[in-house]
Amino acid sequence: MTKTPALEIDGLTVRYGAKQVVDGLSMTVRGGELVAVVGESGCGKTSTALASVGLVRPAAGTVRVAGADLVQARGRGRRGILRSIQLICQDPYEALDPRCTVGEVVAEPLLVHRVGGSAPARRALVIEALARAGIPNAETYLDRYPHELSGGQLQRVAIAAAIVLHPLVLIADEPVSMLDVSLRAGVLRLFADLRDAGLAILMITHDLVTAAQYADRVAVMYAGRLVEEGSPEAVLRSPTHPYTRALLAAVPNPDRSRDVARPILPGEPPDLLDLPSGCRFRPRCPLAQESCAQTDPTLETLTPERVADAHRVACIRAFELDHAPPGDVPLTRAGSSVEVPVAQDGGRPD
Amino acid sequence: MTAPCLEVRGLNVWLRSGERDLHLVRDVSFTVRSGERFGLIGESGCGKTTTLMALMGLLSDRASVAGDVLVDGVDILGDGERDVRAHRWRDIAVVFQSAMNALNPVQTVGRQIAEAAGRMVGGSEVPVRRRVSDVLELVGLRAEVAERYPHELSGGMRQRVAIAMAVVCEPRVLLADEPTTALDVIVQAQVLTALERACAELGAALVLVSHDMGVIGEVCDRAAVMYAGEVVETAEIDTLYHDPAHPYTQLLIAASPSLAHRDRELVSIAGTPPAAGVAVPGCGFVARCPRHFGPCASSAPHVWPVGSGMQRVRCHLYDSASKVRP
Amino acid sequence: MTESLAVRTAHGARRGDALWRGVRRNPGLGLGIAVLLALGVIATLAPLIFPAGSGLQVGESYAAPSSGHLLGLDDGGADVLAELTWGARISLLVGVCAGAITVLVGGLVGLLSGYFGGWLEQMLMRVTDFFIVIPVLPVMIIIAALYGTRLVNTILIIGLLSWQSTARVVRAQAKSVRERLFVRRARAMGAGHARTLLRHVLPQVGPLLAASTALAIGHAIFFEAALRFLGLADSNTTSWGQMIADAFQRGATNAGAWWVLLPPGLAIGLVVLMTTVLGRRLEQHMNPRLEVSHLGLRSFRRQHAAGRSR
Repeated sequence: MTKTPALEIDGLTVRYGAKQVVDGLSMTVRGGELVAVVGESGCGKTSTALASVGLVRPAAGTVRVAGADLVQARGRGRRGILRSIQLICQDPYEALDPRCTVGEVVAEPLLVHRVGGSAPARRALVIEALARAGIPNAETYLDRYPHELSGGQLQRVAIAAAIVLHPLVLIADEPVSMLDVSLRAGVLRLFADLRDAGLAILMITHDLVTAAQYADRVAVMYAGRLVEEGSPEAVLRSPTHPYTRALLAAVPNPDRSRDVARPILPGEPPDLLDLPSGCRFRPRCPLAQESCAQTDPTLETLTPERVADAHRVACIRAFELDHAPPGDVPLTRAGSSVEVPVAQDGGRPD
Repeated sequence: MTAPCLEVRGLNVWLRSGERDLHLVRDVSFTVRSGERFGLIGESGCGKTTTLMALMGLLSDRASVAGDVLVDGVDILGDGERDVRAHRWRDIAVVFQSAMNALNPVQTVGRQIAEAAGRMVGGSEVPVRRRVSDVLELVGLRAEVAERYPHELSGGMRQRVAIAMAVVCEPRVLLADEPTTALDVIVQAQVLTALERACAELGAALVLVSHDMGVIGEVCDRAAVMYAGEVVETAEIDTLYHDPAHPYTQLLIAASPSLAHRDRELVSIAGTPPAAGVAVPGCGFVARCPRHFGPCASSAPHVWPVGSGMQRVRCHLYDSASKVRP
Repeated sequence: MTESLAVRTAHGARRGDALWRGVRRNPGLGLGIAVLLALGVIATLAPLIFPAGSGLQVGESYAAPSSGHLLGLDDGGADVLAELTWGARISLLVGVCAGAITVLVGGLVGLLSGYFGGWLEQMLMRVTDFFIVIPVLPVMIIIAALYGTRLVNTILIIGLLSWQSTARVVRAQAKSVRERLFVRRARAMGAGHARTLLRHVLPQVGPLLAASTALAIGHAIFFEAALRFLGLADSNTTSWGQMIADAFQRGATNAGAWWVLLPPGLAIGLVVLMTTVLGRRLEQHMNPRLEVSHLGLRSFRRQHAAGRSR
């Protein structure tokens, strides 16, 4: 583990006006690793993605791509770093310029970074990238316009444009949430293949189950902070943070008994301009106790055996919850057989 | 068994587009009983939203509709626009995908709910106000929310306000078009609970339209799967999940992530759906179907019963005269 | 292979036919283009149609229309039709040149302030506001009086005093395009401002610029006539405005010679009307979103597009 990680985010803080949407977030993604960041909208996960590719200027912190800091870099150095880290957006219908053909979209990064030389050489690179993105007969797509393609094809074109420069890192912001269910697995499989080919991938998503299926590591965000991080197995099989448990319990489950009321977490995420003292999840937490208001919990390692796969949780009761017998914890571990106190008037404002 | 509350028979929708008519909804029929929760599943462009819009009479004037839509035995599609309007909201109400667009940004939500209620309660201020706080309570919101403007509420709260607006006239049928698509799972759980409670309280029939198998599975008693403008399978929810008959339903379930089966590799269905509304000679799914055979490409399949229950499937595999057995 | 060919030809045809299909769907567009094109051709061919030039006396003062002179004669005994044809040259020249300056300045100011935002936008927009609140016609009169009445001056005065509204609409459009995902994606990719502006923002603003150009031409022709009428342009050249001014000052109304006054007035009206129609229709044609009256449902629009593209 001495090799420099492909992507190293350290103490990233993003502010919009007085709102601090990302608060001192640190995260590492190595080559050949797919990390999923999960959380509700407004938790700061998209701002993390935008800051990672330089679209938003962080108020503090560093974003290192293969050791080079994007935040401090200027001019040519910055462009060089941007070449190695590419963004894939949520909405493929919006992300591609409607007036550019597929060939032009995929060739644009080559032109921007002056790679590929002659037009025929560029064309070959474009076709190769499209093929790697899983578009068969790529030549026949070059002159088509985005509106002629389906959502799944568009997302593959966007991925082709992102990998045509052979970057080190891909940041994917909800890459399948706009796609039809029947096409999602194919696109996710493509990300897994790119990961296997050595890319470092940071995938933003709100779908914990899908994330767990394809990711090597899952990080759960709440109100601008990481609250739990670990292998998908650890996070899904033994979720420790009460928020992660609530997330899992809220995943729709057709086999859920109709006689038991659906477990719902009441309330809304905190107002970022008026954060509660101590733990940010405290006002909604079914396990909150007095000490939660005093201490602002930081990520603590639960399983210190292997540092890279460590299951880390930001909750002062983490160890107690991790070691407690299942029956003693109000929110049960796995999703399918939940027995959770039902909040009758769920979702009332604080 | 209670009598059907909503009955849709042979619903067809065409949309005039340039020189052609696009046949967006073909021969859709289903019934929903009082208190029953019925799901309409399908991917984008399959005609599920168009079906719902047709039930509400909200299609543009470029669309033409044929078929019967009965609420408690009375045809609400029958006699032109005015008739549809008179029935709307008392018989049949709708919750849209985006509550932000459905709410007026410059009026308090209370006034908007009262406006919808006015048609039913009528007259004096006090009963209307009580009614408003009652429905807000029903969807899990405090009465004070009535004083707020839509932009002051979170997405989940807005969606619950939209539900309150839909149920304030105590409709017989409540339609919900992807009510939780833009929401996160925790908020989704809150909204679905509000929807279920509202329907249970009123004894209304619920038609929930969604692309999400999980949501339909958790909420609904029975569901229809739509593909390329047609209903390809109708069944009780347990049957649909554990014993789907149509190859499309089978693949759709295999493509949907599920917590219980999270070790299973998700599948993606090769190819893309046919262009919406363009007629094909055989089954609309033939190009993507892994089990297609002889007649699939040339003749349109009929609807066949499967098993002993209510399962109906539109597929040649279940043709009683077919030699091929599933 | 056959499929690829089919795609290509279908596509090539589509690109070439886009305007024609637009004209068929949108007759106003064809009408505007046809009328303005015809006027342009007539103006260009004036030396061939009336080789004798303008201002030549061919009969007595204020002779009524006749078979020899379809629109009669003016105070100097010159053929009104010939004057009108020659006048179109100056009027349209001023219109096109001043319109071009308008769109160039307005487009540039709008694009830069909308795209970059920040202090640049603040500064440029305050300048624009200044030009919006100054009463344009009096300023035109003063400048014309100060710097003389040469044709170039007229063009510059009109062009440099009419760009404000173009700047504002272009800025609004550029601002919204800047926020669109594909523009941000281009930036994330490492594309510079010049590339992003030219490749992604400008094409989106293009329809608006085209429409503004058409409107600006009509606007400029109208202002030129106003300056002529006030005697603030070079009265030795013939333009439609000059014809009206001359007719007024030389007693055409008293002589009851409507044929001197009406044709240039109608010509100006026609051009302004046609540029307006063209501008609006052009915008509609190039920005299909304005013409779709769909159900307010995104999926519906998509189905619709899918159905059409096949």
